[in-house]
Amino acid sequence: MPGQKEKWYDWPYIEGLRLDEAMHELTLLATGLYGKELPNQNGAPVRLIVPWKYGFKSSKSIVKIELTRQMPQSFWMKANSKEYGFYANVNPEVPHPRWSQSTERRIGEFRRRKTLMFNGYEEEVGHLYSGMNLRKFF
Amino acid sequence: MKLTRLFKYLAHAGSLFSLAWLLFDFSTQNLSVNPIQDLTLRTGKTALILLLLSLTITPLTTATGIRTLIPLRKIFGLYSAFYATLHFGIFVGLDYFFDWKLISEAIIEKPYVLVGFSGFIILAILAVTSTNGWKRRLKKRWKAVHKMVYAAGILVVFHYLWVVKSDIREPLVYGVILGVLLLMRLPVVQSYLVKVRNA
Repeated sequence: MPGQKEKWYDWPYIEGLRLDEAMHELTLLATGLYGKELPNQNGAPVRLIVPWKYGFKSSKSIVKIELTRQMPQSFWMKANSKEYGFYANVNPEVPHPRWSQSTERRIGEFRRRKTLMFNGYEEEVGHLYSGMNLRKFF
Repeated sequence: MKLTRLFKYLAHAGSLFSLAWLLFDFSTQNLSVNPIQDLTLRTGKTALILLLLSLTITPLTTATGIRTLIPLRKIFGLYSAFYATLHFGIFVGLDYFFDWKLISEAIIEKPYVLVGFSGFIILAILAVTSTNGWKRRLKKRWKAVHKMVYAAGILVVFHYLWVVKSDIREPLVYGVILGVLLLMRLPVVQSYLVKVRNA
């Protein structure tokens, strides 16, 4: 990846999921898009999709998967741990320290719309985080 | 003087180039998947670059003694205010579609918006009072009012610095340029430049 030659960030890109998140039926390893092979820019050959989390959790072009005993430090946690946490669940009620995350614009739409809890998958994934303080585990 | 006129044309053409490029990309659907964000970022950056260009003219004149470039200060300044207005208009009108409740929430949660807005207000005041009529009306105060451009520069760089995700190198470069341009205005540095020039 040519972009990884630059030194500002701590490459390689690392993301992590809890096992129950990784095993959830909504979590996919994608090899295609719209019925075709996954294009390079979308993360070929294999890309993770975690639809209830912010997009950066869905790592592209995966080269290695490890099972670890301890919670790994993800790429963005290392870049800025105050602003990016391990979970990165879509949550309109917990703003990023410098900006709101309560609205969004979907691709192809003009007007902003309210962002839904867990990106609209609250029913399916809410139980994974029951009892957790989502301000702390952002 | 003929040369001044040439420089003026070049300044107008250069300043409008960014808008032409933007309109070209817009009409040929070459903006990103988030076109409104693209429009916001590009108009904002053009406003910043033009503001820095405007601030370059005075030190350049001091250093070289060539006064041909002085009219460009106003041209670049006005275009900077123009792009800042587009930037602000896109934020309010396109991005938030005049939803004042959302906008006020955004301002509270995104303090960099306020910083940028303050810079925009200054640029707008300077643009309005840039005419000869206002120069006459404000008399000696005109110069003091227009010194606010330094504050605008600092606010705008800070606004940019605050909005980037983590990689602050690019806004930092603009910050350093602004710092140098402001330092070159210190009386000590100015008299040194004049001394070097005359030596």
